[in-house]
Amino acid sequence: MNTTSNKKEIMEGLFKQLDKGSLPPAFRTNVMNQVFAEAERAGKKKERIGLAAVSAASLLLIGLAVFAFIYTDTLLPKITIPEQPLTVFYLFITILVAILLLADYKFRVFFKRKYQKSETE
Amino acid sequence: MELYTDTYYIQRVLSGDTACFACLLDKYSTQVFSLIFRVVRNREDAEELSQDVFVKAFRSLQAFKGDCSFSTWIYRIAYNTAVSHTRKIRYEFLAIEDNQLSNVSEEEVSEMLGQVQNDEQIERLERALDAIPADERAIVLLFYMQEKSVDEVSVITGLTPSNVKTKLHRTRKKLFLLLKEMED
Repeated sequence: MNTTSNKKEIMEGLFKQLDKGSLPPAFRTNVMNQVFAEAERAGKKKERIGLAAVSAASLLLIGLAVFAFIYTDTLLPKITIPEQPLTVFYLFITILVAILLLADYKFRVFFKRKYQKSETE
Repeated sequence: MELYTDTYYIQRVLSGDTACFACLLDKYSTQVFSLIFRVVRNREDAEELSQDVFVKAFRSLQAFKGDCSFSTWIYRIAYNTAVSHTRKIRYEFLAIEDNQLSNVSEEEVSEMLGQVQNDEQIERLERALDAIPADERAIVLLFYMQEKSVDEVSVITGLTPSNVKTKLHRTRKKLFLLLKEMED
Protein backbone atom coordinates (compact mmCIF):
# COMPACT_ATOMS: atom_id res chain seq x y z
CA MET A 1 0.00 0.00 0.00
CA ASN A 2 1.22 3.49 -0.86
CA THR A 3 1.86 5.99 1.88
CA THR A 4 0.84 9.64 1.48
CA SER A 5 4.42 10.72 0.73
CA ASN A 6 4.78 7.95 -1.86
CA LYS A 7 1.57 9.08 -3.53
CA LYS A 8 2.85 12.63 -3.63
CA GLU A 9 6.17 11.48 -5.09
CA ILE A 10 4.35 9.51 -7.81
CA MET A 11 2.20 12.51 -8.67
CA GLU A 12 5.15 14.92 -8.61
CA GLY A 13 7.09 12.62 -10.92
CA LEU A 14 4.13 12.53 -13.26
CA PHE A 15 3.53 16.24 -13.30
CA LYS A 16 7.22 16.90 -13.93
CA GLN A 17 6.84 15.07 -17.23
CA LEU A 18 4.06 17.38 -18.41
CA ASP A 19 4.82 19.96 -21.06
CA LYS A 20 5.50 23.17 -19.14
CA GLY A 21 5.82 25.31 -22.25
CA SER A 22 8.85 27.46 -22.94
CA LEU A 23 9.05 31.18 -22.61
CA PRO A 24 9.49 33.11 -25.88
CA PRO A 25 12.96 34.73 -26.18
CA ALA A 26 11.53 38.26 -26.22
CA PHE A 27 9.54 37.73 -23.01
CA ARG A 28 12.11 39.30 -20.69
CA THR A 29 12.63 42.33 -22.92
CA ASN A 30 8.88 42.83 -23.37
CA VAL A 31 8.17 42.65 -19.64
CA MET A 32 11.07 44.94 -18.72
CA ASN A 33 9.97 47.49 -21.36
CA GLN A 34 6.51 47.50 -19.82
CA VAL A 35 7.99 47.74 -16.33
CA PHE A 36 10.18 50.72 -17.31
CA ALA A 37 7.18 52.42 -18.94
CA GLU A 38 5.16 51.75 -15.80
CA ALA A 39 7.96 53.18 -13.61
CA GLU A 40 8.08 56.30 -15.76
CA ARG A 41 4.30 56.68 -15.57
CA ALA A 42 4.41 56.25 -11.79
CA GLY A 43 7.21 58.84 -11.54
CA LYS A 44 5.24 61.35 -13.59
CA LYS A 45 2.13 60.69 -11.51
CA LYS A 46 4.12 61.27 -8.33
CA GLU A 47 5.54 64.48 -9.80
CA ARG A 48 2.04 65.70 -10.74
CA ILE A 49 0.72 64.90 -7.26
CA GLY A 50 3.66 66.78 -5.70
CA LEU A 51 3.07 69.78 -7.94
CA ALA A 52 -0.64 69.77 -7.13
CA ALA A 53 0.15 69.60 -3.39
CA VAL A 54 2.61 72.51 -3.63
CA SER A 55 0.10 74.54 -5.69
CA ALA A 56 -2.69 73.81 -3.20
CA ALA A 57 -0.47 74.80 -0.27
CA SER A 58 0.61 78.00 -2.05
CA LEU A 59 -2.99 78.92 -2.88
CA LEU A 60 -3.97 78.28 0.73
CA LEU A 61 -1.18 80.53 1.98
CA ILE A 62 -2.09 83.28 -0.51
CA GLY A 63 -5.74 82.96 0.52
CA LEU A 64 -4.81 83.21 4.17
CA ALA A 65 -2.63 86.23 3.48
CA VAL A 66 -5.40 87.97 1.50
CA PHE A 67 -7.90 87.15 4.25
CA ALA A 68 -5.57 88.48 6.91
CA PHE A 69 -4.79 91.60 4.86
CA ILE A 70 -8.45 92.40 4.20
CA TYR A 71 -10.22 91.35 7.37
CA THR A 72 -7.73 91.67 10.18
CA ASP A 73 -5.77 94.64 11.35
CA THR A 74 -3.90 93.05 14.18
CA LEU A 75 -2.08 90.34 12.18
CA LEU A 76 -0.11 92.61 9.90
CA PRO A 77 2.45 95.13 11.14
CA LYS A 78 1.82 98.64 9.89
CA ILE A 79 4.61 100.20 7.87
CA THR A 80 4.64 103.96 7.58
CA ILE A 81 6.89 105.81 5.17
CA PRO A 82 7.56 109.42 5.98
CA GLU A 83 6.18 111.68 3.28
CA GLN A 84 8.80 113.54 1.24
CA PRO A 85 8.49 115.76 -1.81
CA LEU A 86 8.50 113.71 -5.04
CA THR A 87 11.16 115.87 -6.71
CA VAL A 88 13.76 114.78 -4.12
CA PHE A 89 13.12 111.16 -5.03
CA TYR A 90 13.42 111.88 -8.80
CA LEU A 91 16.66 113.78 -8.23
CA PHE A 92 18.10 110.93 -6.22
CA ILE A 93 17.26 108.42 -8.99
CA THR A 94 18.76 110.68 -11.71
CA ILE A 95 22.02 111.10 -9.80
CA LEU A 96 22.20 107.37 -9.17
CA VAL A 97 21.67 106.55 -12.86
CA ALA A 98 24.26 109.11 -13.92
CA ILE A 99 26.86 107.73 -11.48
CA LEU A 100 26.22 104.17 -12.65
CA LEU A 101 26.44 105.12 -16.35
CA LEU A 102 29.69 106.99 -15.76
CA ALA A 103 31.12 104.05 -13.83
CA ASP A 104 30.08 101.70 -16.65
CA TYR A 105 31.76 103.89 -19.26
CA LYS A 106 34.97 104.21 -17.24
CA PHE A 107 35.17 100.47 -16.61
CA ARG A 108 34.59 99.70 -20.31
CA VAL A 109 37.41 102.06 -21.33
CA PHE A 110 39.72 100.65 -18.65
CA PHE A 111 39.13 96.99 -19.58
CA LYS A 112 39.35 97.73 -23.31
CA ARG A 113 42.79 99.30 -22.84
CA LYS A 114 43.90 96.47 -20.62
CA TYR A 115 42.78 93.86 -23.15
CA GLN A 116 44.53 95.64 -26.07
CA LYS A 117 47.72 95.94 -24.02
CA SER A 118 47.80 92.25 -23.18
CA GLU A 119 47.19 91.32 -26.85
CA THR A 120 50.12 93.44 -28.14
CA GLU A 121 52.45 91.93 -25.51
CA MET B 1 23.18 29.24 -3.31
CA GLU B 2 21.37 32.52 -3.82
CA LEU B 3 23.53 35.64 -3.89
CA TYR B 4 20.75 37.95 -2.78
CA THR B 5 17.30 37.36 -1.33
CA ASP B 6 14.02 38.41 -2.91
CA THR B 7 13.61 41.01 -0.16
CA TYR B 8 16.90 42.63 -1.21
CA TYR B 9 15.75 42.92 -4.83
CA ILE B 10 12.33 44.24 -3.72
CA GLN B 11 13.99 46.92 -1.58
CA ARG B 12 16.20 47.94 -4.51
CA VAL B 13 13.22 48.18 -6.86
CA LEU B 14 11.22 50.18 -4.31
CA SER B 15 14.13 52.57 -3.80
CA GLY B 16 14.07 53.37 -7.53
CA ASP B 17 16.36 50.77 -9.13
CA THR B 18 13.76 49.50 -11.62
CA ALA B 19 16.30 47.36 -13.52
CA CYS B 20 16.60 45.14 -10.44
CA PHE B 21 13.12 43.83 -11.18
CA ALA B 22 14.76 41.76 -13.96
CA CYS B 23 16.34 39.57 -11.24
CA LEU B 24 12.91 38.68 -9.86
CA LEU B 25 11.64 38.20 -13.39
CA ASP B 26 14.48 35.79 -14.24
CA LYS B 27 13.84 33.83 -11.07
CA TYR B 28 10.08 33.35 -11.40
CA SER B 29 9.12 33.85 -15.05
CA THR B 30 9.47 30.18 -16.10
CA GLN B 31 7.43 28.87 -13.14
CA VAL B 32 4.71 31.50 -13.53
CA PHE B 33 4.51 30.91 -17.27
CA SER B 34 4.29 27.12 -16.92
CA LEU B 35 1.47 27.41 -14.35
CA ILE B 36 -0.50 29.87 -16.50
CA PHE B 37 0.19 27.89 -19.67
CA ARG B 38 -1.21 24.72 -18.12
CA VAL B 39 -4.23 26.55 -16.68
CA VAL B 40 -5.25 28.55 -19.78
CA ARG B 41 -4.07 25.92 -22.29
CA ASN B 42 -3.01 28.47 -24.88
CA ARG B 43 0.57 29.62 -25.46
CA GLU B 44 -0.23 33.15 -26.71
CA ASP B 45 -2.69 33.81 -23.88
CA ALA B 46 -0.23 32.40 -21.36
CA GLU B 47 2.50 34.70 -22.64
CA GLU B 48 0.27 37.76 -22.45
CA LEU B 49 -1.10 36.84 -19.01
CA SER B 50 2.39 36.16 -17.66
CA GLN B 51 3.45 39.63 -18.79
CA ASP B 52 0.37 41.04 -17.05
CA VAL B 53 1.28 39.17 -13.87
CA PHE B 54 4.74 40.71 -13.70
CA VAL B 55 3.52 44.21 -14.55
CA LYS B 56 0.79 43.87 -11.88
CA ALA B 57 3.43 42.63 -9.42
CA PHE B 58 5.66 45.62 -10.19
CA ARG B 59 2.75 48.03 -9.88
CA SER B 60 1.68 46.70 -6.47
CA LEU B 61 5.16 45.89 -5.13
CA GLN B 62 4.71 48.56 -2.49
CA ALA B 63 1.70 46.64 -1.16
CA PHE B 64 3.85 43.52 -0.62
CA LYS B 65 4.27 43.46 3.14
CA GLY B 66 6.25 40.24 3.39
CA ASP B 67 3.51 38.29 5.24
CA CYS B 68 4.28 35.44 2.84
CA SER B 69 7.20 34.74 0.52
CA PHE B 70 7.48 36.68 -2.73
CA SER B 71 7.09 33.39 -4.57
CA THR B 72 3.70 32.73 -2.89
CA TRP B 73 2.64 36.32 -3.53
CA ILE B 74 3.46 36.22 -7.24
CA TYR B 75 1.78 32.80 -7.58
CA ARG B 76 -1.34 34.33 -6.01
CA ILE B 77 -1.37 37.03 -8.71
CA ALA B 78 -0.73 34.38 -11.38
CA TYR B 79 -3.49 32.10 -10.04
CA ASN B 80 -6.07 34.93 -9.92
CA THR B 81 -5.09 36.21 -13.37
CA ALA B 82 -5.24 32.76 -14.99
CA VAL B 83 -8.49 31.66 -13.30
CA SER B 84 -10.31 34.92 -14.06
CA HIS B 85 -9.15 34.65 -17.69
CA THR B 86 -10.67 31.16 -17.97
CA ARG B 87 -13.91 32.49 -16.44
CA LYS B 88 -14.09 35.12 -19.19
CA ILE B 89 -13.48 32.53 -21.93
CA ARG B 90 -16.09 30.10 -20.46
CA TYR B 91 -14.52 26.75 -21.24
CA GLU B 92 -16.68 23.67 -21.10
CA PHE B 93 -15.73 21.06 -18.55
CA LEU B 94 -16.78 17.52 -18.05
CA ALA B 95 -19.28 17.19 -15.21
CA ILE B 96 -18.47 14.31 -12.86
CA GLU B 97 -21.12 13.27 -10.37
CA ASP B 98 -20.29 13.11 -6.65
CA ASN B 99 -21.43 9.51 -6.33
CA GLN B 100 -18.99 8.53 -9.11
CA LEU B 101 -16.17 10.06 -7.05
CA SER B 102 -17.22 8.38 -3.81
CA ASN B 103 -17.05 4.98 -5.51
CA VAL B 104 -13.36 5.45 -6.24
CA SER B 105 -10.81 4.35 -3.64
CA GLU B 106 -7.47 6.11 -3.06
CA GLU B 107 -5.63 2.85 -3.76
CA GLU B 108 -7.17 2.60 -7.21
CA VAL B 109 -6.15 6.20 -7.93
CA SER B 110 -2.57 5.66 -6.78
CA GLU B 111 -2.29 2.42 -8.71
CA MET B 112 -3.61 3.97 -11.90
CA LEU B 113 -1.51 7.12 -11.66
CA GLY B 114 1.55 5.09 -10.73
CA GLN B 115 1.25 3.30 -14.04
CA VAL B 116 1.34 6.48 -16.12
CA GLN B 117 4.81 6.46 -17.58
CA ASN B 118 5.02 6.57 -21.34
CA ASP B 119 4.34 9.49 -23.66
CA GLU B 120 0.89 8.26 -24.61
CA GLN B 121 -0.15 8.05 -20.97
CA ILE B 122 1.29 11.48 -20.24
CA GLU B 123 -0.72 12.83 -23.16
CA ARG B 124 -3.82 11.23 -21.64
CA LEU B 125 -3.05 12.85 -18.33
CA GLU B 126 -2.73 16.20 -20.10
CA ARG B 127 -6.11 15.67 -21.74
CA ALA B 128 -7.62 14.63 -18.39
CA LEU B 129 -6.21 17.79 -16.80
CA ASP B 130 -7.70 19.87 -19.60
CA ALA B 131 -11.12 18.37 -18.86
CA ILE B 132 -11.31 19.55 -15.25
CA PRO B 133 -12.22 23.12 -14.18
CA ALA B 134 -9.40 25.68 -14.24
CA ASP B 135 -9.37 26.37 -10.49
CA GLU B 136 -9.08 22.64 -9.66
CA ARG B 137 -6.40 22.24 -12.32
CA ALA B 138 -4.48 25.18 -10.87
CA ILE B 139 -4.59 23.69 -7.36
CA VAL B 140 -3.31 20.31 -8.57
CA LEU B 141 -0.59 22.00 -10.61
CA LEU B 142 0.51 24.17 -7.70
CA PHE B 143 0.71 21.17 -5.39
CA TYR B 144 2.30 18.61 -7.69
CA MET B 145 4.04 20.54 -10.46
CA GLN B 146 5.19 23.61 -8.53
CA GLU B 147 5.63 21.54 -5.35
CA LYS B 148 3.87 24.00 -3.07
CA SER B 149 2.69 22.89 0.37
CA VAL B 150 -1.01 22.77 1.31
CA ASP B 151 -0.54 25.93 3.40
CA GLU B 152 1.11 27.77 0.52
CA VAL B 153 -1.64 26.63 -1.89
CA SER B 154 -4.14 27.86 0.69
CA VAL B 155 -2.53 31.34 0.75
CA ILE B 156 -2.29 31.43 -3.06
CA THR B 157 -5.88 30.40 -3.71
CA GLY B 158 -7.52 31.99 -0.67
CA LEU B 159 -9.08 28.67 0.33
CA THR B 160 -8.73 27.10 3.75
CA PRO B 161 -6.10 24.31 4.07
CA SER B 162 -8.83 21.70 4.65
CA ASN B 163 -10.63 22.93 1.55
CA VAL B 164 -7.41 22.61 -0.45
CA LYS B 165 -6.94 19.04 0.80
CA THR B 166 -10.52 18.14 -0.14
CA LYS B 167 -10.13 19.68 -3.60
CA LEU B 168 -6.86 17.81 -4.17
CA HIS B 169 -8.47 14.55 -3.09
CA ARG B 170 -11.48 15.05 -5.36
CA THR B 171 -9.37 16.19 -8.32
CA ARG B 172 -7.13 13.11 -8.03
CA LYS B 173 -10.24 10.96 -8.21
CA LYS B 174 -11.58 12.93 -11.15
CA LEU B 175 -8.29 12.43 -13.00
CA PHE B 176 -8.51 8.72 -12.25
CA LEU B 177 -12.05 8.50 -13.68
CA LEU B 178 -11.06 10.47 -16.78
CA LEU B 179 -7.96 8.34 -17.37
CA LYS B 180 -9.98 5.17 -16.89
CA GLU B 181 -12.56 6.41 -19.37
CA MET B 182 -9.83 7.13 -21.92
CA GLU B 183 -8.33 3.67 -21.42
CA ASP B 184 -11.72 2.00 -21.91
